[in-house]
Amino acid sequence: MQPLVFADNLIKKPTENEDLYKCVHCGLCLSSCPTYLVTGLETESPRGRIALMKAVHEDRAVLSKQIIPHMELCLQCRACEVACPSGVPFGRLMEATREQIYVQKKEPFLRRLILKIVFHHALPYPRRLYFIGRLLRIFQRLRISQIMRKIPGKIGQLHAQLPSLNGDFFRPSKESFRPKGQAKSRVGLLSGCVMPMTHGSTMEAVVRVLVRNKCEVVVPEAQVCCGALNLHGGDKEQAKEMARRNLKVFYEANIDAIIVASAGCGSTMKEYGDLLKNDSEYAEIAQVMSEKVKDISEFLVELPLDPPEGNLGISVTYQDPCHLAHAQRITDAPRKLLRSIPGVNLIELNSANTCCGAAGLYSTLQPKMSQELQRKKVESVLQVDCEVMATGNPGCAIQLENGLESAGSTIQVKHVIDLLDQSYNV
Amino acid sequence: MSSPNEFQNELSKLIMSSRLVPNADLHSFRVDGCVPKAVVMPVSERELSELLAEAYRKEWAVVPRGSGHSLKVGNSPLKVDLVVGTTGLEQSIDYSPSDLTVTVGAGTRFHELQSNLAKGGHWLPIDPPLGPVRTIGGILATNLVGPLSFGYGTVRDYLLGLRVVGPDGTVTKNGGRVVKNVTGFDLTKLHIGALGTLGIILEANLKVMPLPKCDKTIFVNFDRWQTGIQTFMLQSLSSYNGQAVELIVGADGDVKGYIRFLGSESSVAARVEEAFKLLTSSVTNPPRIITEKQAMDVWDEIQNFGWGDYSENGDDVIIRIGCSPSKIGSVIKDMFDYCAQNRHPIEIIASPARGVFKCKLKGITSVLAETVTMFRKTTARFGGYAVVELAPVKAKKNIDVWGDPGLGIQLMRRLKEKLDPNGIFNVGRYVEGI
Amino acid sequence: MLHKCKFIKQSNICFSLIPSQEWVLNTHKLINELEGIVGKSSVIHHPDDLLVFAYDGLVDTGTPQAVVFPTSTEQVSKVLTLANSRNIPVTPRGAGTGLSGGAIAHAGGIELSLTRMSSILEIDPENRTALVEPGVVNLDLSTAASAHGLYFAPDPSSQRACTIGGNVAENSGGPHCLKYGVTTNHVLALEVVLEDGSVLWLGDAYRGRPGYDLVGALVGSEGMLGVFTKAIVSLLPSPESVRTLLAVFSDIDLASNAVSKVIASGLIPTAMEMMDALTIRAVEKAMNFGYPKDAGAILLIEVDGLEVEVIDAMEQIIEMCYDSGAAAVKHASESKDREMLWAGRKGALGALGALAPNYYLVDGVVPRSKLTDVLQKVSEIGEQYGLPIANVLHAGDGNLHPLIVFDERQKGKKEQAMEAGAKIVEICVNAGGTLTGEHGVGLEKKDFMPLVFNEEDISLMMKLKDTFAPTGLLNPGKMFPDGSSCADFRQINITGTAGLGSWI
Repeated sequence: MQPLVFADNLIKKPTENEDLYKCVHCGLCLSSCPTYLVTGLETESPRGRIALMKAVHEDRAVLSKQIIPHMELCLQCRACEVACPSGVPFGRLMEATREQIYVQKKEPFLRRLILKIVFHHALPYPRRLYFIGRLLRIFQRLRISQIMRKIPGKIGQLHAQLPSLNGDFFRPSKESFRPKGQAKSRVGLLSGCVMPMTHGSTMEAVVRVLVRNKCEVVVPEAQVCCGALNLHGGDKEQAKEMARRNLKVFYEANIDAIIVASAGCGSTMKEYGDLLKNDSEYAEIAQVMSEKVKDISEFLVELPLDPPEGNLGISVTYQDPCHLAHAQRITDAPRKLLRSIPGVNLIELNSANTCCGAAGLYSTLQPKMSQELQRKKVESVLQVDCEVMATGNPGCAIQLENGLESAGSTIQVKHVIDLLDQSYNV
Repeated sequence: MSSPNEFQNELSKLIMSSRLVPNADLHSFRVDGCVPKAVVMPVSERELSELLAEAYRKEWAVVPRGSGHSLKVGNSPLKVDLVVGTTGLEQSIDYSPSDLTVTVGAGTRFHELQSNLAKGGHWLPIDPPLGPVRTIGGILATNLVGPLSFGYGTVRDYLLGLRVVGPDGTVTKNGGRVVKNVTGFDLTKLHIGALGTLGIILEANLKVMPLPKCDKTIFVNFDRWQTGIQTFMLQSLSSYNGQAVELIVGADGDVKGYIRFLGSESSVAARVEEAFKLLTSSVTNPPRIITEKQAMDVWDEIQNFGWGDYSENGDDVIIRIGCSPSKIGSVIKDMFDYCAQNRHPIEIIASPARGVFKCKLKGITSVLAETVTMFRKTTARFGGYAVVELAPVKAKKNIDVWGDPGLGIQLMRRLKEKLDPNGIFNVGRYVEGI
Repeated sequence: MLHKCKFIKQSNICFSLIPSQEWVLNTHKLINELEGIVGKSSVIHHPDDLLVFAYDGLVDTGTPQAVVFPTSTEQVSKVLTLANSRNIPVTPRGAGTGLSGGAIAHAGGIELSLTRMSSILEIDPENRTALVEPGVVNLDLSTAASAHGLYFAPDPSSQRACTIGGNVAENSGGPHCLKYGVTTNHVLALEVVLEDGSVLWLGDAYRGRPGYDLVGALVGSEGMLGVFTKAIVSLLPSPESVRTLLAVFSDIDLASNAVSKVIASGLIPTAMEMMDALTIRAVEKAMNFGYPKDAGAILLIEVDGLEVEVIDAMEQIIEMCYDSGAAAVKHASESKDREMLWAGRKGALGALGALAPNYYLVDGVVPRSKLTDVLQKVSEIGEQYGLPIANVLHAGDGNLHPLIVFDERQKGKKEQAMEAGAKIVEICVNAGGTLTGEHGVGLEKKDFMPLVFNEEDISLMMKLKDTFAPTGLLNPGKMFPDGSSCADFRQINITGTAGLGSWI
């Protein structure tokens, strides 16, 4: 796979060009942008970033060392899309901009090298990912890991951010999972790249919950990572390749819906149609299949759900994953699931839809802003009198776990489906 | 400066003699004892404008006059050459019920305006002292407020636009006749309460309100004024509040409270019911609704507190004190303590939630200066102000009736210099001698 | 109307924009000095970064030499002192959501951004006031006050983003000002830094102190008289009950009649909003509310107060709507259902944006009773220019926002849209209204000022400016017409171009 070399700015392509001019810089997006809220700077706001893209597009500026950091500080949380009255597809614009930065090789050397390895040599290969996962797990069990966590500076920070890989890994399988009796529908489950290792037990819970709701679940072995990280990092061509792979696999699996338990992956897969719209071979299938993609909460609520009966007797607060609330506009479904569980007291979090700073690779690439957002998020969680913090995305979960742990809090972070599964099995 | 006769000769070249008030009557147009050299009642804006242009050139000291009732407000003038009345101007009332606006000449009496508005089911919900007989211009220029300002705000909230004649005779307008307007600087507010020191108001555009369908007043007796303040504060802060909430503490210590409810039948009924619950739980004497006639008398008394029986050679002094509503109890207590110590009989009416009360003091004209100083010291401690609203002319000479206008005084001076560079309007009557 | 322009002498009206250009040569030194005041991380001066500080909600641009982000009154004062000593223009800026170009550094110089002074310093529930810094977001104040059952009444449609400082400078309105008034009715005191760096408090936490109402003059002064560094504003108790009604009419006359009936009945709703047929179709296309296809006007009415009052009022209003020929009426009291009714109105601009790539949003006010006439004339103008004009209006206030839809890629359309906009403003003025009800004059409408005010009126405003800011370095080039372009109204230069702002 060779990334195409673009002679011209990508955003000069007609569709993106139109997108850019939808912005009338009214400024309504400002207060929804986490990086603007922290810095108070127009340069770190959606409107500012669009102005810079426009300037680059109109040759009033070049993608300079001054401009790129503003683009890189964007979380791609897409909260601005919800706030925008003109319907500017900011996520798409930012992806195009990131692609420009990536194809024009504008990142610092080391970062570029790391990204390249991750994007090209790890993410598209599930086996390699599992191998790295196992290595990390062994490492984490060593004493040295505990010591390294405490080293001040970047190395320590990086270690502290690593998710714990203590549990069993979830793996795709040849066999499908069948409910007792007649299945109402046959669904495919995205296994994902990180989630099956960091949240293997959640993936298992997802399968149990789906089976309980009379679904036959297939987890095709040949699937790969959804490509979200590549896409957000500017490696659009590799992302397309991964999308094609997944589309083929799920198409052949002959299913009614593709279920995704990770909000970030779900939003990317729902946009496969857009991503491959100019693909001669895949355009149509991408369109059809992306409409079958459902977030697990969205899917269950539409079923309708087999009501859980086990009383959990806990107070729960909920954090909206950006790619669920903003990119997929799903905010009610997970709350409905939580409220359906007997004994769950759902308490709303202040600014629940503001990004926690995880944002995929962001926490590693932009540690300072990421930690500031994490701190703010933890602060608002601690104001809520709850035992469990529920969310719907592995990245958010890891970020919140780390944040709550270092704040000395005992609040547990769980996927909404973990709680539902727990209630089914009480 | 020329003698009155020469002065009048000069004037007669400018203006028809019929516009001049006969010499014999000049005395009744005196301002704090200063008898003007001439009083002119122009009948057209043009006359007024030309007259002012001349006054400006000659630097005559001009006192604008509406009904004349509020000429006793402010410091005594340093100089009065010419009193210019607005009541002779042609007065029109251009009322547009469907727009909820009215344009009214400044010399129009307030009661005329109200009765016009009433025909269309509207009113201007303000009740300044002696309101009905005063002119719109005078009401705007003095910005004295009454009990209704708690529920309805002050005339500031209803003013949309003004036409004003400046000291050199130039007529200008500001604002407009629409309820929402951000076209240019808002100069209209500067004339409110400015005592005509920046210009003479010719015409005002005002927003009007629908007349309430129901009007009820609750009366309650309190044992102590402190309970009255506390209870009324609570009432005012509840969503079932009245539109006017006033407490009268007599010189004998008797404490009477009145709450006025205006609005639709159902709204007033609900508010009155809630008020009864609240009052019954905090007072020993049961509250009651008073008759329409009684209520009218009571609100007249409160509105005109000190004004009805004022005489420039009398003995009464009315001091208006303002502060944050939450501080009003402390300020009143200090005032009472001071007056008790010095054996000054004091009577007050207080509107706790407005953060305003007025004191009527008797027999203090000889010690007015020190009393006022003392009052100001006390109020300043609580961030408030004390203005001598009314005092006998003799006593006024020794004091500044206004007190501290705050940090903006330099800007105020600069503004006066810009807008009235020759300083012809109301010389010395306004704050800090402006 | 036209002849008045000719009398305006350039010397009287125009600012000397930049008294001295010397400082431009010394930008480097200036930036060092600014960094000395606010710190290195609080000055932006790289040309690439400055690109994003060149605009606000208006399309016109003006690039400053530096943007500073003070965090205290003292820093603001020092920046102004420095600017004053060098004759450098200073443009204060809040969130930059204004629609008349008030925050555009038209003459270059320093842009003074107050977004980092964003603390709510105190909420005093007993006196119902709040002490805030200028960078506090409007909605954040109401959210904070809601803990005490209070809220800040002015609610411009940009309230999620715009700042209190900007609201004060522009005297912002909003859909709900029919009952509660605009910003000036809710500002009690201001800490202001004058152009020479002096700091003073004007006003008190209560009204009534003797002296000129300088606070009243500062509200709506568009950043030209001083920089606000703190404000005491009054808060209102949240109403016990709120109800919203949506009524569908076959044409705009019937809807206007309903509005007149409500007003005549003596009720004062908190909001009365209207959308015309074009808007309804755009909203329906975008959001599928199931509005009738032949709907000619939709009226949204909101009432608040005590439960008994609201029930009473709503019953009457429903009856009046039907009496006026409403085809359908829906009403709601729960906040979720009310939001549903508002959704179409709130999304109207976005939906209209989809009709064509550009639009010019006009802000005019007329006496409410003239609305029907004026709307008729507006639609004639649309026909004359062959441009679709959609109308979203604050019907209760007579504040109309015709939105002229066009595609700037078609030659001449933009100029036509601008010309049509100018005509509409003239119509409003001729109907006894004015240029702007809530967006401000700024750059956009400064050349229209002679339509409403004559030379004397304007020079009196200039005197107010001279009182506060004699050098004219604060936000220069705004509000007052440039002598050159007001000689002939037909050549009025609307500074703003297409697609102004996206909300109203």
